[in-house]
Amino acid sequence: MTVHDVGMHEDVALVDLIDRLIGGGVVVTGDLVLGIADVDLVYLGLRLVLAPAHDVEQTIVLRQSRSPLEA
Amino acid sequence: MSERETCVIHAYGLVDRAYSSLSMPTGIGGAPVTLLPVDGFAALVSELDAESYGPGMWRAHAEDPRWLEHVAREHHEVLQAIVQQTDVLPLRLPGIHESPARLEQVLDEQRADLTEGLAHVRGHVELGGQIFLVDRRGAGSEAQGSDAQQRPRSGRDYLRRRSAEAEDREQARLRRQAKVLDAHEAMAHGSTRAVVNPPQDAALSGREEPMLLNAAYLVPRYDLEGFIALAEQVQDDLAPHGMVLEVTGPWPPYNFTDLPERVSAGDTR
Repeated sequence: MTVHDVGMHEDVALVDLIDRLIGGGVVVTGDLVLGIADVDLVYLGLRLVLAPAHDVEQTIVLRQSRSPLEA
Repeated sequence: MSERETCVIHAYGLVDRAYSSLSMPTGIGGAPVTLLPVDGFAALVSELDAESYGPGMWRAHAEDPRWLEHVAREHHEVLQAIVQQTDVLPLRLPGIHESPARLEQVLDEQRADLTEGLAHVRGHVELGGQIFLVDRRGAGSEAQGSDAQQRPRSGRDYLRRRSAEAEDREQARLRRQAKVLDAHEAMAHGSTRAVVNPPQDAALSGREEPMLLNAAYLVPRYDLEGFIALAEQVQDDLAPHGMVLEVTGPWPPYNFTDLPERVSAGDTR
């Protein structure tokens, strides 16, 4: 089995990081200085970090569903 | 807030208290990271130039992957450096506030939830567990042996064979699915909390092997070796079925910042 130690940041797969940053972290109410619409844009933007621009819609990893274990 | 402010406060995460012994990493854009003590915990913050990282810049770069990647990585690197030293509750991007006083005020307003959030991750780190299908011809699919080598004798024979092969594939898929569930159950049992996320698309992960499980486990620091040993057993169980388990971490507990049964107002998850 492979254990990837993420202690060294070079080892962090961008997809794993963005996967966490998009859905993770506590929202502190005051940080919504941008307004909700802009925050949504930021999350769209974070997805763009990963996806080839032309097929974002198809390839996006949305975190809305919580238990898709279908193999 | 006024956009004419020259500085913004970027908040990375929360720790139990203003530890003087923490070795502070470099923050976003090379800014120093400091601890802002509030009642009950302390926030990891950087004072950033508003012209580079203020709300105007977030708006301007909201769809700029390169800028966002830079900020996301540097935000993460601070949390990663801290989680290697002490427990940390990550805050969500974009975490900018107009002043330390204003941040202190909003943290105070959410103090009960934040204290509880910190308590949920205390003494823990997050490990990622991903299962990939590397070989579709795993256990049980050897049925396509001798029979498949011969040419079909008739159209009916061909169709029968096709249907038997499809049935075999379906059976193999169900066996793998059961194995993946067993694997997740074992690791969930060996951790404090577990979260299953949608598998990453191959186009995003850049890997050809389909991802069958994309999970995160909240593991006590004292039991990291125990969890790894368990994961090795799980891997031994998956290998005959053509699957591999990859464990990543330790991560800041990004996947465990939700309070069970309660979702804060701004949470869009």
